[in-house]
Amino acid sequence: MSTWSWIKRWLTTTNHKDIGILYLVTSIYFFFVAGMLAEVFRVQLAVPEKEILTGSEFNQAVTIHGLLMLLWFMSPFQFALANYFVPLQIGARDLAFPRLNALSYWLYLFSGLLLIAGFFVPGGAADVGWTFYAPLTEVLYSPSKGVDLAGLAIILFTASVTLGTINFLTTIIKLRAPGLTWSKLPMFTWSILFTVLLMLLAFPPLGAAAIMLVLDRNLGTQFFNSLEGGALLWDHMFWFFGHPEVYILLFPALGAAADIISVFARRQLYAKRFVIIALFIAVALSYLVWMHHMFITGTSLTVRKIFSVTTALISIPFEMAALALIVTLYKGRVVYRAPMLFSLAGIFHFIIGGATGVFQAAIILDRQFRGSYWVVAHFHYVMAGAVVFWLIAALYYWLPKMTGRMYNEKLARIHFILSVIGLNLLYFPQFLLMDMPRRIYTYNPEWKLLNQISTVGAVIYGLSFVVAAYVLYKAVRSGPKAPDNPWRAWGIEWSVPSPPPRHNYEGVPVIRSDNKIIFVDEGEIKRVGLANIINAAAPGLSDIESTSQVSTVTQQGSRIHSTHSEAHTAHHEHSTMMPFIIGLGVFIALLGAAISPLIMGSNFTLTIIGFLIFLAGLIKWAYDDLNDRFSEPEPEYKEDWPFAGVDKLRLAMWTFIAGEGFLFGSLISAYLFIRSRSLAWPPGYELHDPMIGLINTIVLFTGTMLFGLGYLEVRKGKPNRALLYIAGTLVMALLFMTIKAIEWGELAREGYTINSILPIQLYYTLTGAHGAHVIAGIVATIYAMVKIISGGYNKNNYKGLLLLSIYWGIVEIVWTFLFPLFYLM
Amino acid sequence: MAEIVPPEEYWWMLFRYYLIAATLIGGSVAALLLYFMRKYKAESEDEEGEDYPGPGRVAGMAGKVGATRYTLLITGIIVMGLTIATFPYTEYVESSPENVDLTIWVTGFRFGWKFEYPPPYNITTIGEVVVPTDSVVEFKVTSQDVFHAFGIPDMEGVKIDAIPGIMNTVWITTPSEPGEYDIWCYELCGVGHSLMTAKLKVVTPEEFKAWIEEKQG
Repeated sequence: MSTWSWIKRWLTTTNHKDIGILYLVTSIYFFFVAGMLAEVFRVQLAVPEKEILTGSEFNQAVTIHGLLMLLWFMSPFQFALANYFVPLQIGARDLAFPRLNALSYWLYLFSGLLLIAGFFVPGGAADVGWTFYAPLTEVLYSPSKGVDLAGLAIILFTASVTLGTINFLTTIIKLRAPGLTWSKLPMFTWSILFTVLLMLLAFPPLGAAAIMLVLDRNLGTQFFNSLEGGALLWDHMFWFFGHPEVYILLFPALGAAADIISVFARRQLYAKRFVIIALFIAVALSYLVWMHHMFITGTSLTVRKIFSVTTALISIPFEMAALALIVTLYKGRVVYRAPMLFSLAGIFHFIIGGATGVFQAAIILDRQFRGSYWVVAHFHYVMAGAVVFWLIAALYYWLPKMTGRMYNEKLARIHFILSVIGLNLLYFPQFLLMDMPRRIYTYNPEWKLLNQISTVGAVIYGLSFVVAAYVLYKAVRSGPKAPDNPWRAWGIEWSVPSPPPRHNYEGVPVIRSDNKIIFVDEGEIKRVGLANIINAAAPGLSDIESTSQVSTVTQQGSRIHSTHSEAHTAHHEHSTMMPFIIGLGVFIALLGAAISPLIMGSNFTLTIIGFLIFLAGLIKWAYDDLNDRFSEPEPEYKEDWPFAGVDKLRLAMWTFIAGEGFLFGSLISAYLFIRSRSLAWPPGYELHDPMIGLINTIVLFTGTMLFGLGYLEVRKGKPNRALLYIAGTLVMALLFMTIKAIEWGELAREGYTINSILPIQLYYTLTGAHGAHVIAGIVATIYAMVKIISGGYNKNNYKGLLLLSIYWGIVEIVWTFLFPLFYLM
Repeated sequence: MAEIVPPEEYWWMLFRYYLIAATLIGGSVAALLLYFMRKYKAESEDEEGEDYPGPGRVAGMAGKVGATRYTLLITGIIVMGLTIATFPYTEYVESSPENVDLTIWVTGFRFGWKFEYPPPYNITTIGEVVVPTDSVVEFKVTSQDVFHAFGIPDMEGVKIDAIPGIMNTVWITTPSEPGEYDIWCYELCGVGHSLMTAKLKVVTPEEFKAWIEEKQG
C-alpha cells in the first residue's frame, strides 16, 4: 500500500474499528500532552516561591491539563473502546450511522486542535481554570484569544458528542444480535448506554453556556458579566453539566472493569441486575446533585441541605457497584494478569476517592475542602486512580483483540507497580494539603515537603506511562501472535478472530437461550427458523431436532465466503472523505473567527474559506446521499425489544430532538434565571410588537403543517402535489426569516443592538438560535425537494421526510415557547 | 463569650467522626477485597469459578444480592445519618451569634483583600486585618470584580465565596492568645491568584485600641 492510499484509507474510513483506532490514537496523544503539562506544573510546585513558570503559564498549564484530560482524553478514549467493541459485543456489523460516526471523530479531533491552538496565539491558551468560572472569563479580565478558542472548542466538542450519543443509543437499542436480550449485554455495553443517556442531557447546557460565553466575549452581551446572570448563572449551567460529566467519565471504565474482573475471577458478575439498577439510579440522581459544587456561594440553606442529602445518597449506588466487583471474586478462581491487576488496584483507589467524596457531601466539612488540594486529591483518586487504571486494564484486555498481538506481561507488571506507587505518592499527600488553595503556583514554605513528595510521585507516575508506551509499541511491533481468546473470556468479541475481519463475522451471530454464541448462515436461519435456533437448548426441543440440524459458520479472518461478506465488499464503498472535509472546514472557519481580529484586522478571509470548504463537504455529502450511495437496509435478524416498532432513523431523530430540547431548555432556563434576578424587566410587548410575533407564529405553524401534508402525499405516491405543499413550507420558512430580519433591523435602528440591555440580548440569542434551526430546516427542505424530484423519495422510501417533518415540529414547538416569553410576558 | 464554640472546633469534631466512619467502612471493604484476592487465587488459568460462563458464550444475570444488601443498608444508614447529623452544626457555623463584637466588610479584588471597619471605627485596610482577642468577629464578604473565595485555612471551615453582587457572611471567634493567621483566595481569579493573600492579626484589646487610634490618625 502506498503512503497516499494509506493516508486516504484513514481519512475516508467509516468502519467502526478504524474509527475506534483513530479515537484511540488521538486520545492517547491528548493524554500525553495533558500529562506533560501536569509534569511541568508539578515541577513548578516542587519548590515554594520560585518561578519556573510564570503565573500565566501556570494557569494555562492547569487549565489545558484539566480540559484535555476530562473532555479530550478520558471520554474519547472510552469511546475509542466503545467504537471498537460495542458493535462486536452486541453482534452488529457496524454502528447504526457509520458516516455520522466518522463525523463525530473528525469534529472531536479538530475541536482538540482548536483548543491547543491557543498555545500559539499571543496571550496564550485559556488560563481561567477548566471550570471557566465567570466573570473571570470575560474579555475585561481575560483578553487572551485562547479563551475564545477554548469556548469554540467546547461548542464543537459538544456537537461531536451529540452525534455520538445519537449513534450509540440507536446502535445499542436497535442492532443487537438475535437472542442477545438486555440481560445478556456485557456491562461495558450497558455502561456505554448509561453514559450516552447522561451525555444527552448533560452536554446541551454546557454547549449553551459556551455559546453564551462566546457571545459575551465577542458581541458584547453580558450574560456572565452582569449581576443578574454572572457568576451564579455560570455555576448553575456549568455544574448541571459538570456533575453528570463525572459519571460520564466513570461509567464506561466501571463497566469495563466489571467485565474484566468477572472474566479473571472466572465467575459471572455478582448481582449484575442490581448493578444495572444501581447505575440507573445514579444516572437519575446525578442531575440532582450539582449544587454541591456551590455549597458556599451563599444560596439558601434549605436548598443546600437537599443537595447535601442527594449527594450522600448517590454514594450508595456506587457502593453497590464496588461491592459487586469485590464479591465477584467470592468463590471465583482469580487469575492475576495485567488487566486484572489494574482493575483491582482501581477498586482500592475508588474506595479512597469515594469515601472522601462523602466528606464533601457535608456542607460544614466542605467549607474547608472547597477550592483546596483535598478536592484535587479526591477527584484524582477517582479519575486518575480508578478511571485511568480501569482504562489501562481495558486497553491491556482488548489489545490482543485489536492488534492480534500479545503484550509483554512482565513489562506490564513493571508498569503496574510504578503506577500504583506513583499515583499514591502523588495524590495521597494532597489530602494532607487541605489548607493549600488549588491552582496557586507559589505557596507557603510550610507546604513544601508534602508538595515535594507529590512531585516525586508525579514523576514516577509519569514514568509508568513511558513504560506503558514502550509495552504498547513492542506489542504492536513484535508481540507474539494473539489467539482469538487469550483470556478464556466470554462475550461475542472473543468468538471472532484477532483482529476481527472488516465485516466482523461470517454469518449471523445468534445467541441461544442457553447463552451459547453461534454463527449461522442466513439461508440456514430461513430454513430452520430463528426462534428454533435461539431456543435450541430449551427443554422440549431435543438436540436432534435442533442443534445438529443447524450448521454453523466457522469464523475465519481472511476467508470471504458468506453472502454477507460479499455485501460487505460493497460496503467498502461506504468510505467517504466528507466527514473529514466538513470537520476541516469548521475548524478553519472557527480558527479564523477567533484569531482574525488579532492578525488580520477585521479580515475574515480564513473564516470564509473554512465555511466554503464546509459547504462543499456538505453538498458532496448530500449529492452522495441523493444517489443512495450509502443506503443500507437494517439487518433482517436482530434483537430490539421493546423498540421493534421504531426504526433506527426515527429513534435517532427523537434522540436528536431530545438533545435539542435540552439545548433550548438550557437557554430558556438561563433567560428565566436572569429575569427572576432582575429588579426591573420591561414586558415583552413594550419592546416587540406582539402582532408581528403572532403573524410569525402562524406563518411557522402553516409551514410545519404543509410539510406534514407533503409527507403524506409522498407516501400516497403523488410527488407533484407533495412538491407543491413542501414548496409552501419553504415559502413560509423564508417568510418567517424575512419578517425576523425586518424585526431585527428595526430593533437595531432603534438602538437595541445585541449589546444593549439584557432582555434584548436574550431576545437576540434565543431567537437567533431558533432562527439558525429554521435556516437548517430550509436547507434540508430544499434538499428534500430535490430528492423528491429525482425520485429518491417515493412511496417506498419516505422515512427521511418523516424525520424532517418531526424536525419542523420541534422548530415550531420551540417557537411556541419563545413567542409568549418575548412578545407577551 | 465563653459559651460560643469556635466553628473550627465543630469542624474538627465532625471531621474526626467522618474519618473514623470512612476508615472503618472503607477499611473493612478493602480488607474483604484483599481476603478474597488471596483466598480465591487460582492455581492455574484453567480453573473455573462458580457459575463460570465460559468461552463461546455470553454472561447472563446472576441474581441474588445476599448479604450485600445488609452491608448497603448499614452503610447507607451511617452515611445518611452522618450527613443529616451535620445539619445543626452547619446551621450553627452559618448563622452569626447574636452578640457579634466586630463586623468587618471584606471586598476581594484582583489581587488582594480590602477590609472596611464600619462606624465607629471608619477605617479601611488592605492586606491586613487586625482584630482583638477573645471576641466574635463577623466578615461580610463580597467581590468587586471576579469570583474569589475568602478562607482562613488555620480556622477550619472558615471559608466563603466572594462573588460580585452577593454579600456572604462568615464568622470566627478569635483565640485568647495573640497571633497571626494567613488569609488566602480559594478560587482562581487570574495571574495574581497565588499572591492574593492577607494577614489576620489577633492582638490584645489594648493593642487593638491603639492600632485603631493610629489608623484613625
